[in-house]
Amino acid sequence: MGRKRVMIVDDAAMMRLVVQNMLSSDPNLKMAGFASNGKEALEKLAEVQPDLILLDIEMPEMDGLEFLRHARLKSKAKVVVLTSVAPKGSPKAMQAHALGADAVISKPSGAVSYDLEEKRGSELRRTIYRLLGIEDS
Amino acid sequence: MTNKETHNDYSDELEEVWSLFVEDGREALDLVEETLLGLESNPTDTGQVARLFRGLHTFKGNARMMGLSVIELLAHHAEDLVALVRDEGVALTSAMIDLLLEVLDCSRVMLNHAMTQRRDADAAQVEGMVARLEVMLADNTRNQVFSEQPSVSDDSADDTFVLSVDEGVQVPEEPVSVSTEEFILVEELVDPSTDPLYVQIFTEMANDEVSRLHTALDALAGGEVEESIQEIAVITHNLMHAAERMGYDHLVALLGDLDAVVEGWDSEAQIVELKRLGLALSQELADIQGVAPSTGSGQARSPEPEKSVQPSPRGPSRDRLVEQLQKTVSEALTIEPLLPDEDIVYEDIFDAQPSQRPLRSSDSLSGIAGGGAAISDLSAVSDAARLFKQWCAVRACDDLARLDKVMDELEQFVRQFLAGSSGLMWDEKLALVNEAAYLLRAIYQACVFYKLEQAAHLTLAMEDLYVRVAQEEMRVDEALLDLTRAYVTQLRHAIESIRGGETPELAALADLLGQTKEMLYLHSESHISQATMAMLDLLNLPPEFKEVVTPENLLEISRALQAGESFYTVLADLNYDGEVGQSFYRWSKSDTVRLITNVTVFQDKRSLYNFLLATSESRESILETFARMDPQGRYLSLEECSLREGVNLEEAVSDQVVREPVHRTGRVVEAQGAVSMEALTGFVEKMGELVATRATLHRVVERLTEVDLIETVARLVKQSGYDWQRVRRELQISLGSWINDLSGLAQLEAEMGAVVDQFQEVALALRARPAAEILNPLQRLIQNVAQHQGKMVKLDIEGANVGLDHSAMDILADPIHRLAWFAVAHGIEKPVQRLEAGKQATGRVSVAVSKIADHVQVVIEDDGRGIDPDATLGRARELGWANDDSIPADKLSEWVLREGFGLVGGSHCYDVESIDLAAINADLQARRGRLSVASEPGQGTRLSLDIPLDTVVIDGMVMRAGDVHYVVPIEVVRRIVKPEETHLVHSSADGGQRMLRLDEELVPIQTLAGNTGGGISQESLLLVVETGERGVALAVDELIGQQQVLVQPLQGCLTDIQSVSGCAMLGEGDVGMVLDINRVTA
Repeated sequence: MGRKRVMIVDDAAMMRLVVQNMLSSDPNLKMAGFASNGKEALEKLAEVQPDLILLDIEMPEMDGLEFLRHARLKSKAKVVVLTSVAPKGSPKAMQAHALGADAVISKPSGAVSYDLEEKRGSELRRTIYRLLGIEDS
Repeated sequence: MTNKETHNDYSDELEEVWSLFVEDGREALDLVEETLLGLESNPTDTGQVARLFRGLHTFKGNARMMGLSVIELLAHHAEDLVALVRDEGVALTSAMIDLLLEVLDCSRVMLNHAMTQRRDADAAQVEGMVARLEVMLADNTRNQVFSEQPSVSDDSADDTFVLSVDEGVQVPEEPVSVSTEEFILVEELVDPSTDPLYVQIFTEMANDEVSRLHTALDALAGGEVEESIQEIAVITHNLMHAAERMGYDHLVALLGDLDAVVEGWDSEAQIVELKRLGLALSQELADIQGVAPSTGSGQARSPEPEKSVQPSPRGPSRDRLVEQLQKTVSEALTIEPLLPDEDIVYEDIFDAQPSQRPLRSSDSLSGIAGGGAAISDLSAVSDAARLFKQWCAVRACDDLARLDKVMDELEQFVRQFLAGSSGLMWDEKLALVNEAAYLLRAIYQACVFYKLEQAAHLTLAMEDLYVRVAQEEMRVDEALLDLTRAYVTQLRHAIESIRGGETPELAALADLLGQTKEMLYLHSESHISQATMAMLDLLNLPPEFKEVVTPENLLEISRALQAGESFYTVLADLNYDGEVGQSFYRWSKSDTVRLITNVTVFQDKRSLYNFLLATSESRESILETFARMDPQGRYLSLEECSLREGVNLEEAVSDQVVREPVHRTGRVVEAQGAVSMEALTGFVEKMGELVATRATLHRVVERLTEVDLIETVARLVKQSGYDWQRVRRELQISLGSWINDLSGLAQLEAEMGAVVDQFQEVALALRARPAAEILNPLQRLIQNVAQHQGKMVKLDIEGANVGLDHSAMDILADPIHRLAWFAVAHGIEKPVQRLEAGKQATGRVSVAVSKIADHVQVVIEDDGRGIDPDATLGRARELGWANDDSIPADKLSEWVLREGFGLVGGSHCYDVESIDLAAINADLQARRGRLSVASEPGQGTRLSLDIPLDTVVIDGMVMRAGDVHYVVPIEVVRRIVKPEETHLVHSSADGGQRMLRLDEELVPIQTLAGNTGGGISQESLLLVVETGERGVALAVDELIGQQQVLVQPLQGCLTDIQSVSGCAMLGEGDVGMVLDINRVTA
C-alpha cells in the first residue's frame, strides 16, 4: 500500500507549515497539496486526489464548512476538521461534525515547542491513521 | 537518530516557524486594526465583523500552536467577544471596540516581545484586560435570550478535545476530552438533503455531470465507443458517490442501472437504453429540485410531490421552481431554450392528462411525450427544454382558467373599494397578484411553444403589469381586470384554434398588446409624478389622496373641471351597514356622479373610505340623497372641496401663485384677483393631453425605429433583380408608410410643443411671488425712520402685485430697503425746512416695481433735497477724478456710483443718512443688474434699480450677425431698415461713429460681434431698437423672425459678457444671445 495523500487547507501559512512538519516525516503519509481557503482547495481537489483532508474552519473566500460539503460530495477523502476553538465556544465546530466531518480535532497546541511536539503529533497522527485504516506499528 | 540531531533539525524548522508566526501574526493584527477602525464608523457591517473574527482567530490559533498561552488567552477572550457579535446578534458597542483596540495594542507589544525573546508574555500583562473582557462577555451573554449550547459541561471548557463520528478518541495525556456520545447529543447529524447548501452544491455538481453525460451519449452514438463508455462510467461513479452521501436512494438505484449497462456493455443496441436512463436521470434530478412535472416519483424527499397536478394556490414557490426547472433542463441538455422545434406534432401531446401520468418519473416522460404510447423514438423527444414547454402547453388552458378565477377574486377587492388602499387585506391581494404573475409566466412558455409570438409578448407585458402591482407601483383596477379577462378569452381561442388544427385569429391579441403597453406606459412613474404632486397641492385635496391618485384620476379631474362640476369628498363607513354600502355604491356608479378615486382612512379601530368625486348635483341634492341612504347620518359625511369658487384655493396657493397672469411681453398690466380657474383647468387638461400625446409619440417612434428602411429597400431591390422599376409599387408603399409616420411625428411634435408652451407659462407663474412681500414692510420702516428724525413722510407703493421670480426677490429685497431708507433719512427734509423751501410739510417717497421685457425695474423717488453737488465734487477731487470746478450733470451720478467713492450724504458709516451707493451698484452689477441715480438739488432724487429676470419667456426678434444669433425683445424694436447710402452718415462729433438718418433723427449704428467684414454695407439690415429716449440701430446680416423664447441667465464666466442679459434656446440646437437693450443703448 502506497503512502496516503494528505491535503492541508488552512489560511494561516504557519499552521500549514507546522502541520506539514509534524506529518512529513511519517513514512505512511504524503503531503500532497495545500490550499489557503476552501475555494482554492476546491479547485485543486481533482488534481491533488487526497485520501485525507485536514481542514480549517475560519477562512476567507469559502470557509471550511462550505468546502466540507463540496469535499464530501466530490471526493472520497476523509475530512478531519482542525479547530482551535473549544466546542463550547464554537457552534461551527459542532456544525462541522454534524455536516459529516469524519473527525473534529483541536489544533495541536504548543506543538512548536520541542518537548510537546511528539505528544501532539501523535494525537493527530493517531486520528489520521484510524481514519485511513493504517496499522500503527 | 540521537536526540541532539533531532533537536538540531528541529531548530531549523523552528526558526522557519517562528518567522512565519511573526509574519502571520502581524498580518492578522493589521487585519484586526483595519476592521476595528472600519467598524467604528459602521458597527453593523457584518462583513467587517467576520473579518475581525478571522484575524483574531488566526492570531489566537497561531499563538496556541507556538505554545504562547498568555498571548493565546487574551486573543481567545477577544475572539469570544467578537463571536457573540458575529453569531449571536449582540450589538457591537463603542466600549467593545475600545477594549478590542486595547487588546490589539497589547497583542502587538506581546508579539514583538515573543519575537525577540522567543517566549510567552507575562501573565500579569494581560490579567486586567482578560478580566474586563470576561465581564463584558458575561454581561452580553446574560442579555441574550438564546440559550447556551446545553450539554458541554463547564468541566469540558478546556479547549483540547478530540471528536470523531464513529468513536471518541480518548487522549490519555490530555486533561479532558469530550466523548462522541456527549457531542452527538448536542448536534444531531444533519441530513444533507435537508441542508440547502448541500442540496445546492449537489444540484450544481449533478447538473454538470449530467451535461457531461449527455455529451458522452452523443459521442457514443457518434461511434466513439471506448472513450465514451469510460467517461460515462466515471460520471456514474461520481454521481453515485454524491447521491449516496445525499441519501437520494432512488437516484442511486437509477445510477446503479446505468452502471450495470456500462459495465456489461456489449452492443450499440444498448445506446437507446442508455439514452433512456440519461433522460430518466435528468428527470430524477428535476424531481429532486422539486420541479418534477410528474408526481409520485417514489422519491421520499421530493419536496413538492403534488406540485404538478394542480397549480399551487400561492405563487412564489412555484415561480421559483419553474425558473429552476427551466435553468436545469436547458443547462443539462444545452439545447436552445426558447425556440420550439419545427417538427413538433402538437396533437400528440394533448391526450396526456395529469391523471394518466404514470408514477415513476422516468416513465412519465413517455406520458408527456407520446400520450402514453411506448417510447419508440427517443430522439424525437430528447429536448427536455421543449418538454417543459410542452408541459406548460398542456397546462395552458388550466392556467388560463385559473387566471380567470384569480381575476374574479381580485374583483372582490375592487368591488369592495379596497383595491389600492393601504394595509387592509393587502396580503391576500398580494398573493393573488403574485399568482397571476406566475401563471402568466407559465403561459408565456406555452405561447412560445405554440409559436404565438405576439401572444408571448403580450403575456410578458401582462406579467409586467402584475409585477408592478405587486411592487405597489400601480393599482389593480377594473381596467386591468377587464384587460386580463379579454386576454384570457382571446388566448384561449387562439390555443383552441391551434389544437383544432386551424390558424388562430391574432388581430385581437395585437390590439390587446397595444392596450397593455399603453397601460404600462401610463404607469411609468417618473414622467408625471411631480406634476401630480404639484396638481394635488393646488387642488388642496386631503393629503391621503396623494398616495392613490393616478394619471387617469387627474384626467378625470380635468374633465370634471371642464364640465363645471363641483368636487366633494365623502367619508363613508361602509363596513357596518351593508344596505348603506350597497346604495352608496349604486349612487357612486350613477351617471350624475364622477367617482375619481378613494382612499382608506383609519379612525380608531374603524376603517373608513374617503371618496373623491365630482358631480353637477347641488350640495343640497346630494345631502338629500344621503339622507335617504343613511337616515341617521351615521355612515356618510359630505365635504365640499371649494374648487369651484376659487376662494379657498387662493388661500391654499397664496404663497406659490402670483396674483396676476404673467404677460409674455411688454409691461405687465397689474391684475387683480387669484389665479383664474381657467388657468388651473388648463393646467390639468394640458397635463392629460401631454401624457396622452407622449404615449402616442412613443408608439410612433417605436414603429419608426422598428422599420429598417434601408434594409427594406435593399431587400426589395435585390428581389427585383436590381431593377427598381419592378418593385416601384412596393417601394412606394414602404416609403409612404414611413413618411406617414414621420408626418404624424411632426404633428405630434407640434401638438406637444403647444402644450409645453402653455405649461411653461403656468409653471413660471407658479414660481413667482408678489412684490408685496418686499414692499409691504417698507411702510413701517419708513415711518420709523421719519418719526425718529422728526420728519413727515408719505410712502406710495406701486406694483405690489407684480410677480417676481424668487431669485429676483432675493437680489432686490435688501437694496430696496436700504435705498428707501436713504430716501427718507437723507432726502426728505424736516417739515420746517420743507415749508421754507416752498414745499409741502409732508415729504413724498414712492417705490414702484415694474417688469419691462426681461427686466425688473424698481424706481425709488423722493421730493427731498437731492444729493449735494458740492460735497460730491469735493469727494471726486480728493479721489483725483475731477480737476476743474464745473460739474457736468451726468458726472455727478457717475461719480457716486463709481467704486471707491464711498458714502453719499454723510461721512461716517453710522450716519443714518449716509449710504454707499457705489457698493450697492457693485452688488447689483455682480447679479447683472445696475443702479442709476438722477438727482436735482432741492428737487429730489430718483434711484432706479434694474435687474434681469432669472427665467422669463419673451417674444423675441431673432437675428443673425455672422454665425451668432441674437435675440431682442420684440417690443423694443421700432423699425427695420434696409439702408440706402444716403441714410448712412458719419458723425464728426462722435469720433467718426456711423449714424443712420431716420426721418429727422440720427441714430447711432451698433455693429454686433460676428458681423461680417466689420462694417455696414447696403446688404446689411438695420434693426432700430429703443428704450426710453435712446435708440440704436443694430446691424445684422439676417432677420430670422419673431419667436417666443425662454430666456435663461448666463452662467459662469459668461456672466461677464457685457450687453447680453441671457441666452435662449432657439430650436435645432442654436443658442441665441439675448441683448440687454439698456446697455446696448447706453
